[in-house]
Amino acid sequence: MSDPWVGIEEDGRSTLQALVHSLAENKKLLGRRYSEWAVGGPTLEAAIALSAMTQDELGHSRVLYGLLEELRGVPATGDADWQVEGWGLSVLTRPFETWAHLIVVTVFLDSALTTLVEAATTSVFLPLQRRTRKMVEEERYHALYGSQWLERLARRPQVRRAMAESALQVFTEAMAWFGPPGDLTPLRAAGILGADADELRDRYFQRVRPALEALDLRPEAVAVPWDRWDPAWRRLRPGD
Amino acid sequence: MPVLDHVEIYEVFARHRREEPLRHVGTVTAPNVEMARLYARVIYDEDMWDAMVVVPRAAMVPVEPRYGGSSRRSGGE
Repeated sequence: MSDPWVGIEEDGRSTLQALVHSLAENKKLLGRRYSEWAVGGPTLEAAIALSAMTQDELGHSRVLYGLLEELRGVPATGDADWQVEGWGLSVLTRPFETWAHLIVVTVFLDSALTTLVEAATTSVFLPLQRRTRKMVEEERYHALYGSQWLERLARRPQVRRAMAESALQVFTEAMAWFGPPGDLTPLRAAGILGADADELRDRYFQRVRPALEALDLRPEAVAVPWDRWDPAWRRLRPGD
Repeated sequence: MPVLDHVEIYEVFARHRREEPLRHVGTVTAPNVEMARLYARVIYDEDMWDAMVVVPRAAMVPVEPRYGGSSRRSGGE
């Protein structure tokens, strides 16, 4: 088997490993959070669809952990082999209190993860490219589910205000997750990703703009607090 | 419950192979056709379908039986 790392510099390798690890762990956490509502959706149909989304996210996570084994060249013997503390975005580290908050996370965080996955579907790094194409297809339905439910829930002013409040937090965390300006540029230059951090952020922003507007949010006013950026774990440190 | 406003029942039809007719496989309740398609896809996904369609129950046009319908079927010739 040919060496998948040929032509990829050391800093690109470590960045890709961190990125894949963050993606894998956050998809696992997202699946876990979805599962907690999979028996509590407002309709049976909504619950079944969420169960399918749970399976998708956990499946994606497992596939990505498999990729991480390849990246490191060391087979894992089980989940305990992976360092999982620290990668989780704060919004995913505790159960969602309401259905509306779950929908906010679907629209504003699941879509951020998908934005990165999409940028990997054209990767010259074939182990990454092969694993991401099916994910993008499945994530289309997550996006549809999220946008449809958000549109319905946001018709009610009280619910819309509550969703806007949590959406602002999730949106800020998602915008930061792609990394500071200039981040991922080596991966972009090597063709491993189809976009660097700024381009990913812009794509994500365009994707969620209609949802922000549906919640009466003015995203231009949102500044990412880079002073809280933790490069080791690719996330914002918890705020005050 | 407020979020259940304006839902419709959709009939779900599917076939395994292209040469087969579409057969009724169930229903879903959804607020619009996009969600009906999504729900049908995840609920009736046990089989590898060649095709699946959803039809709003309200769009189905009943045809009156020519020979008396169920009473004739149960009574035979």
